[in-house]
Amino acid sequence: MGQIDWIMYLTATTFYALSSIVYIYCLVFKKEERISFAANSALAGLLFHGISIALRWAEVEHGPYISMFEILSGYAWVSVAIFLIAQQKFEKIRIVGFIVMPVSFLIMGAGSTYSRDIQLLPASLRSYWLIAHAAFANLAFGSILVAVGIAVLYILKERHSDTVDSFYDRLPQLKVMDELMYSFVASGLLFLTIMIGAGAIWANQTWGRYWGWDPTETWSLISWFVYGICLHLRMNMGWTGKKVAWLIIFSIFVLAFSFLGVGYVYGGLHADYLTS
Amino acid sequence: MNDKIMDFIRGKKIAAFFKSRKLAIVLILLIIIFSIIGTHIPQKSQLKLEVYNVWKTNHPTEAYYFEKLGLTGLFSSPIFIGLAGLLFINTLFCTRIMFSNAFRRLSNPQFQKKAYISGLENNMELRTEKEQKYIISVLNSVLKSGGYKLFKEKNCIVAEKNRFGVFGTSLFHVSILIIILAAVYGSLGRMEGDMRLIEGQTLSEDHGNYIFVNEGPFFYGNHQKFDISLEKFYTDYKDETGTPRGTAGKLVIKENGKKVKKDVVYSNNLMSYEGYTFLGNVYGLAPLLILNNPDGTVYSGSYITASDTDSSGRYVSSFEIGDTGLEGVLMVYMTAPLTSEITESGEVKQTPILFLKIFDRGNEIYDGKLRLNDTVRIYDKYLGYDRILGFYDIKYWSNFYIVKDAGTLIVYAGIGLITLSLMISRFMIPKRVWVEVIKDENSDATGIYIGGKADKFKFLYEDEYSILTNKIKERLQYGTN
Repeated sequence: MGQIDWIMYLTATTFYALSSIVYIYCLVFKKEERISFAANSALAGLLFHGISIALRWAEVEHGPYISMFEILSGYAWVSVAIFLIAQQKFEKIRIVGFIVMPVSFLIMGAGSTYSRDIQLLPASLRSYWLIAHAAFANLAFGSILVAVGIAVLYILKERHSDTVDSFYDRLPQLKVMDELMYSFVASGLLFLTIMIGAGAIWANQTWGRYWGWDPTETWSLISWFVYGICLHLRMNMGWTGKKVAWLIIFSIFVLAFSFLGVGYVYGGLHADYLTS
Repeated sequence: MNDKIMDFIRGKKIAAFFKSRKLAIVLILLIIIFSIIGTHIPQKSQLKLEVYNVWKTNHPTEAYYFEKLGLTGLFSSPIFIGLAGLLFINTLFCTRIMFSNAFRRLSNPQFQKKAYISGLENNMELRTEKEQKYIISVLNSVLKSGGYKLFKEKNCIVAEKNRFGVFGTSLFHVSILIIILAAVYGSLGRMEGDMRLIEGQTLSEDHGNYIFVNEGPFFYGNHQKFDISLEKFYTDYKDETGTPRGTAGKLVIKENGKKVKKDVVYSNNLMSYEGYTFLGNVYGLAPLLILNNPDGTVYSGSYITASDTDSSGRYVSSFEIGDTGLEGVLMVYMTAPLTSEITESGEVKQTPILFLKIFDRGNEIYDGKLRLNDTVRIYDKYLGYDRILGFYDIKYWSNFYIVKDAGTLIVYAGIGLITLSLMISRFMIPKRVWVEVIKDENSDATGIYIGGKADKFKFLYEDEYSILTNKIKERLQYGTN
């Protein structure tokens, strides 16, 4: 079984790579007609990836949230899934795959550099709250990655607003993209909140306190504040369009650092799980 | 006195400062900056004392200045608490305004006239020769079927959907206030401590029985003094489903000698009693060493708690033997000799082996190993005779982290409410449709002015609005009076 899930993982990674190349090709050469091929490749990758996760889950008897290999795999799968659902609903933003798919491909590549050894679930991690904590972290990252894709697209469209360009003209209006960014960031903030809440309850069960200013906890709060500021500026202080788009692009680095980088830089209680 | 001074005296300036939305941004940015500093500089509360001291020794200059500036305890420093306090006040002021606006909007539906309606992004003008009564009934039926609640005033209609969504943002802010208040309330009345229990031992929940205790200012003296016993310790506990749970301790709570609570405590399975939470953390072995007089009477003896400091499975401790002036160091571990029996659970029975050194005023007088029930003669040169030191028993001990924090459940309620409020804000978006029906003075025709907007995602609302207005148009076109 261990080999089959790995073959599925590599197949999924290959499809993600193919999808990424086609999306970038579509954007650079403005070939909208190839987007369906890119989306289908992403869907095929998602299916193989899903099978890979399911097989490993059955083998190791826990979800993708213990080792770095599993965690990264989870982030990539959820990001692609959210993107495919979003592009199904808002067809005009299908090209957002040029951000989501390469990032997912890179995450898969990074994941493959970590050990795939089976790690038994330590007693401290046998909690439904941990499952919720990890699942909502994936959802938050996926939603915000789609928002970043839309933000980049917004900036590109705005730059071409003075020129007649049928490719960019076919994208949604700027004001619609602005609202879509807002919508995905608002969903991301909701998922982040549930992630932090579930983590707090789990921490209380495991360590006897719901909050301890552990570096990863602190950075999660920082990310939460950053996205809170994004929404606050947009709702109450008239920040829309390009300014918010840049803020969203910048903010994903904060989120990625808090999810994946803090353990390496600062250590802390989460570091045992988030670095190996 | 000029107006500015009067405003200041009336508190208007202060109120304006505290309800400022910019202030919220500034405070959050400052909290972010301090949080980043707090993760970068080692925090005393985060690290074990020995780890912190190693950092301090390696970075004496930084440690000196950081400690002087209070940056090594940043999250409990006055400046950080002050920022959180200001954010609390700012949120409080903003929440009050948001709630009053939300209530006002909910209780007073705003009717709008043609001029306003025509200025909306989503607006439409229809003309029909149908009777006004029929027009109203069509509007009523279509808007109601779309989930709108209608309010009428003369020839104006305002239809509202997801009306209670206006409370989303206010509730979000209330949740933040609740979480901050609960955290403060919890920490002031909080008690946390480590109690070390040897298997079979009972200790009262009292200040003096904790090996470490931290009490908030409102807790002091509130210990409940019930009895806590560690009935059994398990190194590899399996629950009723056979799932391995790691180390576990069966705790029994007694009040006036009566058992009132019993549970096996392991990771993610805490025991709660009267607001106290019990978690097992460190554990170790405790060999029983007894020093006998030459006539066989007991001179001194106790279980010595030994810890596995390097996760090697070997437990070490240093100790004093009563008032003899003798000191000892020991290392003990469980081992299975070749002759070991197999226990009922199918595991090899393990027995302890104890490596012991005894010092008399700094001079080593014994170095050897003991099995259970072994004894050794210890010569006391001051008294001029031998005593017998025996290794008679061994038990496990475990530290239980015991916490009482009345704020925890309120924090959980705040987390629940903040999630709910974000769901309301995200998915329950208030939408309004305004209609004014104006009968032409010079003809039989009637003009219907319809406009709608959503509080958020205005452009994404266009589709829903189009469906509604198309239905209205269709019904007015093909329907009969």
